[in-house]
Amino acid sequence: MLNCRETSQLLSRGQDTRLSLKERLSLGFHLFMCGACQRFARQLRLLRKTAATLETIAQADGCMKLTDPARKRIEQAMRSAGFDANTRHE
Amino acid sequence: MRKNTPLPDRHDATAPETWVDQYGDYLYRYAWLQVRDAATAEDLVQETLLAALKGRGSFDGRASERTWLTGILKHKVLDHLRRQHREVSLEEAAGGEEDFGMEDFFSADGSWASKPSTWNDPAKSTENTYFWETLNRCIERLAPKQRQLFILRELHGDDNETLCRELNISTTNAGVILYRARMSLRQCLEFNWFDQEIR
Repeated sequence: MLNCRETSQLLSRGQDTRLSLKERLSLGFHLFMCGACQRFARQLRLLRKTAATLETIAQADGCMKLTDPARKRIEQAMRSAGFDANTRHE
Repeated sequence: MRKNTPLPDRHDATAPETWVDQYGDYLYRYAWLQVRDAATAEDLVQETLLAALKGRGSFDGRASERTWLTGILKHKVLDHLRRQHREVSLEEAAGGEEDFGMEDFFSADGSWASKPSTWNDPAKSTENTYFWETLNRCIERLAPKQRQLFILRELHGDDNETLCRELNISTTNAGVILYRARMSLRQCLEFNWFDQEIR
């Protein structure tokens, strides 16, 4: 019989790898009886779902951008490296 | 549906002089999300554009220029994380933050010390801007190694094998670190967001 600690570990591992049949059965059995672990399982799913949207949220954030000094520094570095370096390629 | 959207077969290369204006902010946000430090993110953008400038011949126009640049940036980010990862490992070997806080989640008999509560889907919450801020702050509070792995796994969507290869750790080790990251994040969100919501 799994306890809640072991259940939480299996649920986390299940997000990264495929669990064995035996593991899935014992997980199902524990979850059937334990409301706290059912809620934990849902929390893990929500955590994954929301983390996956962080990139989109950040890209839509107009406040987060390169500062002007950084912009200038990068452009300067590119000029020193030679913008026209590519003309030799083709 | 998809068939009706005409996809260009080739993407054109643009002049490198315009890259900072065109892609600078996008690449910066991408890098910042993963390294959580403005100066490091700026450096990574610079390294990426310089590498791209040098390797312009490798742009074949099959993907967009932005995708091509993002691919280069991803490698730069990984190099950075790997370096940081080694430093963190050394620190941990010396000081040992490894087991920090893990005992708090369960009682000695393996039952929850504090039972997880019911979470509403934050995507449906009207105040979700605050939710994202809370989530970001919770991610920042993670131990460095946990944060790196969590980000690579959940934001990059790298599978376990890729992750282990990229950071040179075992799958078991990766699983343990991810588990700790999820447990800490869960608790941080529960305390700082979901419990507040009820009050």
